[in-house]
This record gives sequence, structure tokens and C-alpha cells, in this order.
Amino acid sequence: MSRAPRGTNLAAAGLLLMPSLWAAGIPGSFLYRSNGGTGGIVVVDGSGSTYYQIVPAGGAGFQTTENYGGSVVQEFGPARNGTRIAFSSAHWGNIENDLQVTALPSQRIFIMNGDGTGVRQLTYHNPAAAESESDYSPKASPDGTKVAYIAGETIAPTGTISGNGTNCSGQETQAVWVTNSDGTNAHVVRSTDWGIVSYCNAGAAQEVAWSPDGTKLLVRDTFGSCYGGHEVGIMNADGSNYQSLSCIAANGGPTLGLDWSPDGTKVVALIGGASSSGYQVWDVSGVTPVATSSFANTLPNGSNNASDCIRFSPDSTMLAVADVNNGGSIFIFDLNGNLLSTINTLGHENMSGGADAFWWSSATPGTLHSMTLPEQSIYVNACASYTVTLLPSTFNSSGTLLTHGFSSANVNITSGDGDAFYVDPFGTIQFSQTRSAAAGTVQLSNFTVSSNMVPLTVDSACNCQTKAASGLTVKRSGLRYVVASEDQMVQTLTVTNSTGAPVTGPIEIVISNLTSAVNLTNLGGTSGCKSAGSPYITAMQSGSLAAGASVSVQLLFRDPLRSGFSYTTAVTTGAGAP
Amino acid sequence: MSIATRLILIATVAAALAVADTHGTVTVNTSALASSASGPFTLDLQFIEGNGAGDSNNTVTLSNFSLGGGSIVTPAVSTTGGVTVSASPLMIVLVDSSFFQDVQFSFTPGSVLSFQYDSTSNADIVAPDTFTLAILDNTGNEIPTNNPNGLNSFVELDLPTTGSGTQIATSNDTSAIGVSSSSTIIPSCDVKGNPTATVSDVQSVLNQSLGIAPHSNDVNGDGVINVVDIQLVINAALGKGCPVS
Repeated sequence: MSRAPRGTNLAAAGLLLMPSLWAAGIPGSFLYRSNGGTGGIVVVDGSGSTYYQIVPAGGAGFQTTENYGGSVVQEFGPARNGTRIAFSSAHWGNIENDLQVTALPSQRIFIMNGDGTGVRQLTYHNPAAAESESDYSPKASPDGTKVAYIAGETIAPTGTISGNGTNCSGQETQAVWVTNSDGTNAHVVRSTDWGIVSYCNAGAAQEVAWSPDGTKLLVRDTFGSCYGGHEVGIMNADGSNYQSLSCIAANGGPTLGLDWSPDGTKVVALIGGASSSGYQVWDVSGVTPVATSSFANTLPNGSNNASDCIRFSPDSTMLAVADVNNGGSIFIFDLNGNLLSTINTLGHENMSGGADAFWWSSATPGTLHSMTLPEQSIYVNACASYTVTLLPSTFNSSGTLLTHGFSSANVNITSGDGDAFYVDPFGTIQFSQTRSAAAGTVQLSNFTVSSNMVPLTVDSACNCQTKAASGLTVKRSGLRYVVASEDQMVQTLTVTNSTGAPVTGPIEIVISNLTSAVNLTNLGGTSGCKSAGSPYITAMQSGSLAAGASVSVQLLFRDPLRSGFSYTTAVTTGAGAP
Repeated sequence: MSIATRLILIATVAAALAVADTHGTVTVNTSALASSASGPFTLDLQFIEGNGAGDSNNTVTLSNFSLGGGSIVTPAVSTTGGVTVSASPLMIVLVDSSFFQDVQFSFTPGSVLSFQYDSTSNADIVAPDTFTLAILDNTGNEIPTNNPNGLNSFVELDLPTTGSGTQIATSNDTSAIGVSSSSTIIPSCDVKGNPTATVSDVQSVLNQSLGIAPHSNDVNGDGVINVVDIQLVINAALGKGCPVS
């Protein structure tokens, strides 16, 4: 039996699996939301055959309930550059603790990196809301730095008077919000026009989409001059300069289906009434939007019950419409509705419906790493804290193995004091070493794999950052409860270099002993060295902090009861894990 | 007498004065809000405990309100924690008896919002007790400001904490409405956040005047840190009080 060398970074030895992109003449890749199975996002190329999966990493935080099956990702909106994916889910532990007036948990908004790592929760239950309502329609901005979404627990401020003089202060309603991807500066950009509303019939927001340059939003709601019916319009990303494109019948009309072309010149929306609907394209390259082409909402197979998701092609010359029946098909049209091509089935896992059923992207977010095992046994260097992840095998609809992984969970750890493993909701085996000793070797053996090609990641290769010198001090600012930061406590930490010499980054601040009911929501990650399990935040990613210089970083704390909290800080620097 | 000689003398002082108050006037130019479509507005005042749990070691008192034709509606829309509001004339007292003190008023802007600020200046250990003033728009969100700590407040006063004296930040809005703020608040002479002003406070202000430490304690509020500020702190350390007003 041979061993991997001690201290080897097993992930770095990986083989990159990339989809072939231009198969069958269809450009780019499709990302669709799995209805069960992994509960994540499936990426498939234009041939419909090569695919991989993106699931939110850190699955231990997500709780799969019987009510919701395995659909961890319920809506999603990727950044056009592939770096980030915003998604909604009702399965995170913090959500399960929301005030529930119904039996079902509410969705909240999350964001993750394009490969499923770095999951961060962006929205939470609003304690001022009388009822727990979901947040939905998350869309990452094209560069991944912002997220637009609809918040279901938006509270009308004091002094809100409707058009017929009714005092609607405190009314729980919906609004379109934009937040930075780190959770800061969440703010309303479109909400009910109270001057039109009678009584407190606030209307509803339905969907939002970004322009490719990130400066504008395409929205669908019942807030404005079409009150009583749906309205599609465009506006600047800060909510200014709203322009209505179409009013849609109040009853029975489509409520979903929007997209903005990658070249920025066109938008498309599903419009119409109860008896018929169709896709309308507008030219928005000028000052005034102009309706151009349109075609009926009738799919080639006669189904129109799953066609509320429409996407422009990466080159903006085609449109794709989803049919979630029979595992999921995609029909591709020109801008006048002429059928060009069909992907008969995406097949690998069933596609969910809805406005976010799929995306057509030129980018390819997410990759899998793998390694070749000489034998079906793994030795890893047992540093103070590490995590090993084994991914399950994946198969296509015919049962053909596509990516190798373990095929059963017969796991035994033959050495390693305090180690444990579990299978997370995505079917992934996680090993988390918990002991504090930073020495020894752990052998993982007696597990069954489908071949000797096992996707494997190892976080931390026993390479910890060094504790900063005492001259690197942390000063805390005061706190404020900031509504616009999603009702969070905001504080700034300033690190000052009084060592007398430059300090090389990265500089991380580990937040330890944080009061248990309080979460740091904009954490950079979890410490595995300085204080295992504690969050840390990056004060300086790279470069050098000169002697006498300071660097500041903002902390966002969720303290639902606003009853106070405490924590300690420790600064670590240099290469390695915090 | 040279500064060095004075330092030597100060080092022999056994007892120094009790922590002095912080006081002055806060002024927010709200003239642009009167015609803004972002209203109606809410005035939001917070006083948050720095030690994590209420210790009642500091009190903030706001009085002598001037609204330039505007108004603050009493009673308050909401109060949380150690807040007392007297209506006529308006006086607001915030005591850090719990972690979170908050009071919100319906607020009709006039040309200006100004008031007298007085507080004790007892130091907390790990983080400062902090008073902030923000204005909420008709969405319930703060009007965004360029507050250096990201607090979206027009005024932030961080009372002393160990190793640091009172810090004051006045800010302007960043949403093109045109709201700006300023203050004439005079921090205490205890610039290091110790229970009493000592020689270390004098050294700290001396370093600031020499430019070898960041300028953070303009004791007399004249915009510069110089020998006048040093003299005030020396007087405080000698037990002569902190007579700045």
C-alpha cells in the first residue's frame, strides 16, 4: 500500500474537468436548477451530454427537510463573468429559526463563488415583520459585486399614506432591493407607489434582471401606473429614471419571464393576457425603448405551461425557452420565433421550473478537481484542523458514469483521535478533524469507490499563518444598528502596524469567543488554525503594510435580539490558513 | 517653563482630576431635505454600549434643539433601552443601562438641525460607547453618508476606550441630496481613555502636535493640535480641570 506524501496538497494535484463548449453548434453552456438529486445547479454544454454540478459548499449548514426534498437551491442568478452565483434557499439553519406563522420555512438570499465555495447568507428574517415571508428572484450583477433581489418582508415606513388617505405605516410588503455581495449597503430601489394605491393594497414585485453593464435593471411588478395589473419596465440600478415598457392584464396574465441581452441592446419579456401570451422584444439601445419582434408563447411540443423562463444567447441573436417536462428540454429560436435547434433533454437531473429554471452563459462557472489514487486508501497529514471532502459519482440518464467518486459510504477511519465523518445533504462525505494536536497521520480506508479516480479536496495542508507580532494592534470603532445593512450591527476594526517594520499580507483577523446567539455575516472564512471553527475576516489580502500604517475592515454582526455581544480578536499574517 | 519640565512635574502628581465631560454643539444642515422626495423622514438616535452589556457608566444629554423652521414630533415613534424624552422643551437623555439604546422621531426638516451635546466620558474596556445620529428616508433606510466606519450616520461620537480618547466623526450624505453636518464638540482632556488624565495623555497630545501620531484629539476644537491643546491636557493632569468651552 502506497501513501501520498505527507503534507501533499491533494487538491492541488487535481485534474480539471471542463465541459466542451461548442458541441452541436450551440454556443456556451446551460446552467439549470436541479429538482432534487444534488439539490444544486447543473451545468451542461450545448450537446446536452457533458456536465458537472455546483452545490453550495459547507453543506452542513443546510438542512434538508421532508417538506422540501433535496432542492437546496430554489432560485439562482449567476454573474455573467461566472465568478458568483446568487441563490435562494429555505434550507439554511438560520432560516429554520425564523419566526414561522406557517409550517414552511421562508427563502432567504445567498451568494457563493462560481464553484460553490464561499457561501454567504445575505438576507435574514426581518424582526419587524409580523409574518415570515420569503425573499426571492436573486440576481448577481454582471461583475458579481452586487445582488438584486425581492425582499418579502419590506416594512412601509412611518408616515406612509396611501392614495385614499389610509395610514399604511408598518405595512409588510415587497420591494426590489440591491445589496453588495458582502451584504453591505442593502437598499430599496423600487417599491410600491403609495400615491396610487388604495387602502394598503401594496402590490407585488415579481422578477428583476440586470443589464449586462450593471447600470440598469429590468423589473416586473404591480407597483406602478399599471396598478391592478402587471408592469414591465427598465430603470437605473438605483431606481431612478423608470420607463414602463408594457402593462399586462390583471388576471391570468404571465407574471414571470424576463431577460436582458448580453450586448445590452435588447430586452425580452413574456407578456399578454389570460387567454394568450407571447414574447416581446424591445430595442433599448436608444433613449426611448422600441418594441421590435415578438412571437407566441407556444412551444414546439404544444406545451406552454413551463415556458416562463426565457434567455438570450451569449451572442444576443437567439432566444431559448425552457420546457421542464420529461427531465427538461430547451428550445432555441431566432428573435422572430423561428425554431433553430432543440436540446431534447438535459436529462441528468430533472430541471425545476420557474423564472430561474435555467441560464444560457458563455462563462463556465465551477470546476471539479479530482485525483488518482494508487490504491483505495488515503493518508492525509493531520494538522490542527482540516477538512476532507469526497464527492459522489455522477451518472447521466442512461446510467453511464460521468464523473468518478465514491459509490458507497462504507467509511472507516483507522487512526486519528477525535475524527469523525458525516454525509451531507448533497451526498458528499465530509471528514472534519477536530483535535488540537498538529501532528500525526490519518488513514482513511475501507471505503468503496467506483474507480480509483476520486474527486477530493483537502482544506488546509498543515500550513498555518503565523501569529502577528504584538505591535500589530486592533482598534474597534463604535457600533451602530444599520437598517440599510440588512438590520445588522456595523463596526470597523483598524489594524495598525506599530512593529517598526513592514508586515507582508495577507493579514487576517480571527474573531473568537463571539457570543453564541450572534453571527458575523461577512466573514472571510472559518479559522482552522488559530481558533478552529471561529470566523475570520481579511483586513489586507496582499501587499505590504508599512510601518506606522493602518488598514480598516468592516464587520457585520447579526444580533437578532440586540442584547449585546462580545468577542476577542487575534491577528495572523503571511501565507497559510488563519 | 518648557514642555519637558512640565512633563516632569506632571509625573509627580499623585491624583488627577475625574474624567471631564464632552460637550458642544452638533449642527446638521438639513435645508436640502425640505424639498426632497425621499421624505417623510425619521430622526434616529442610537447610543450603544461598548462593553457588550449595559454598565450605565455614561450618559448622553441632548438639549437646546434648533430646527430652522422644521419640527420633531413627540412622543417618539419608538424608544429602546435607557432613553428618556422630555417634550417641552425637548430634551433627550440616553444612558447605557442596556446594550442598545435607540429613539426615533418623526422629523420634518427645516434649514438646520442643531442641539447641545453633553456626555460623560468614562472609558469602556474593549470598544467605545457610541452615540450616532442618522436620518431615515421613506423606505426606512438611513440616508447614506461618508461616515468613515460605514455607519451611515451624520454624527458619530465614540466615547473613550482603553488607549483611546473621544473620537468625533461628522459626515455628509452620499446620495446627492446635499445634507452635511458639523460639530463644535469638545472632547475631554483624557485623550487616552484612562480613568483620569495623566502624563500619558500629555505625551499623546504632544506626539500628535509633532506629527508622529495621528491627529485625533483636537482638545479645544480649533482645527489644529498645538501647544494650546497640550496646555489644556497638562492643566487637566494637574487637577485643574478641563476648562474648554
